[in-house]
Amino acid sequence: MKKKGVGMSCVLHPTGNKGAGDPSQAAIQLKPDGTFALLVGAVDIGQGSNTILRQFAADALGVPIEKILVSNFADDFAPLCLGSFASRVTLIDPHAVVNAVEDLKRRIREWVANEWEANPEDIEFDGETVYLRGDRERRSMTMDQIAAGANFGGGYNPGFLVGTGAWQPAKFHAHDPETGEMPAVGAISFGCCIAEVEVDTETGVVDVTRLVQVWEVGKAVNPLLVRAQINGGLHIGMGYALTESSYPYWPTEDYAPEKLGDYFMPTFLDYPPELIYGIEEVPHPAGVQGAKGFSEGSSNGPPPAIIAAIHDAIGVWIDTYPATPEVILKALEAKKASE
Amino acid sequence: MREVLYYAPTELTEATAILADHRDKAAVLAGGTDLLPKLNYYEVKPHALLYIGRLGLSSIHNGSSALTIGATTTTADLATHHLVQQYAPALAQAARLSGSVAIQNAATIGGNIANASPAADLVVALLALDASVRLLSHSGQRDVHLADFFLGPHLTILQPDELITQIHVPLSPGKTEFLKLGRRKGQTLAVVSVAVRLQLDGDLCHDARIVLGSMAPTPLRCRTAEHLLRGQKITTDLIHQAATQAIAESSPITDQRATAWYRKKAGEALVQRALLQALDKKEVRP
Repeated sequence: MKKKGVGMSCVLHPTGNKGAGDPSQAAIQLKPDGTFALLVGAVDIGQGSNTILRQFAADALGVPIEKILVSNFADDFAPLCLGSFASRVTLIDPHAVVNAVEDLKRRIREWVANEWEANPEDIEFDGETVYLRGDRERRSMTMDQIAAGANFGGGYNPGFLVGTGAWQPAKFHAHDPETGEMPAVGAISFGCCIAEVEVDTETGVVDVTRLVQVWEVGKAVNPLLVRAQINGGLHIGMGYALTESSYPYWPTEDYAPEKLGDYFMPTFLDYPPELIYGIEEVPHPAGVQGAKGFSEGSSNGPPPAIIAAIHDAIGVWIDTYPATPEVILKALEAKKASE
Repeated sequence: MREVLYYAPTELTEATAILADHRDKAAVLAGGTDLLPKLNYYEVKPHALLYIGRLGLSSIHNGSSALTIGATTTTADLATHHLVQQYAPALAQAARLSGSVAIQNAATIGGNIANASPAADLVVALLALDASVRLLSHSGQRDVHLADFFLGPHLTILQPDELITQIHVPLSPGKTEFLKLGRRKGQTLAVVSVAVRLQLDGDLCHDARIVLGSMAPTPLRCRTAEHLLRGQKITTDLIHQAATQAIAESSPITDQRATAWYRKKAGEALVQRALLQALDKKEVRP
């Protein structure tokens, strides 16, 4: 017999550290062809940090994203970044990128002001055009012209136009002696997951038939990537809830997985046929444009929601991960025996 | 790894001569999905590899009394070929549930048989269909019922100088079903699989096949359970009895995929389900 159930979970996920010190750096260079080379330390392991950091740089410069090339090619040469962990990159690295862009703009102002014998404070930016306030007709250069002039000379002063930036969350302060309050994290993201399952009471197989996951992410810098992160979290969460196991959960130690092929992650066939995601945006004061991280949290939502849905379906709380068909059947037998 | 001789003959006589020369020092390579992992982990150390993909053995023909399937026909071809879908739907279903798309494109029916895994998906369906295999050597050929082919896990009656060339699937009437339970839905080995075939004569069961995978040292025909159904009117009660009997004939082990306890519990449900679902299936008519 197949029994249906629905379960829900709420998740609170810290993003970025505080007390430990959690810095990132960035550098951005105006290249000879008028494009910008953005150097970051953040490692893009597929989560899309390169893409969103380009977005932030393009936004701060007022140029199309195609003008920004990004690289984190090697730790030995890249600016410092504490790493892609703790869902910290979206909260912290954009600050470093924006600071680097401001620094580059300052360098460009100085270089242009020197050419025009003007005051750097009178130099204005309008997208890819730089001009002298009050004299835009006569005193105006495009980024291409500045790039060619600074890098190749040809009547202009040589220059190497690079901006650097760094950032870390506000300094750790000791806990409040009165209340014990201690700011341990940079920001917190909030998620909610609702799972619907079908439990086969004869084989113990659990099918996740529908799943909804909604995340409050501060600002969805790239909604497509946010959705992919939510669905990626489902993959990890479903595996944790239903299939992935290692010693001591295997029948005996002899059967512990030896290679990745023995380690059972869900396939696309195991995914819920109906998959709904939602994004909420409440700008966070610590983030650039209110952005903060959330992605790891999205793998925390599905396991408790699925376990709660199993309870709703068959009236048994499964208290061990993964809830394999065998675990389900044993729980059903124990329930029957106790009745 | 030391150097290995590699042969890729285009003539069967050439292939059997190579096997006769090297005997058990040769490994037959078709799709390679079972052999290559063993080579990579040094579980087998052949002196020679005999690739049989150029022997023209990838074909499916419809004879007067049987489907003839070439040994190097891929799992993907079995899953999609109209003759298999029409005359051996349980085999097509087993092929569809076997491995990943990449595995299905490479793995062959002959390989699935020769590897003799207790969990072999195709073999479970083929046993329910009374299939036989043609074995060729330099000194002659013989046809063997698949039910007599397996001796144990990865052990068969295949001699070192013999090659599987063809699989014959008799065109017999009946309703069939293949079900598989793995640890997940895709890319998974069977925790338990079952193939059934019911030959009905009005209300009565004229003949039956119940075959279990991953439930014994070899894919297992449950002959006593089959006998329970023969000549009887099929009822839900009888189906439950047959399922219980089928599991009583099995001897599953505990391994990394499941415990023996689970295999028996879930296997019984799966046999019941396969028999009930087969009754609702369209009858195959040769």
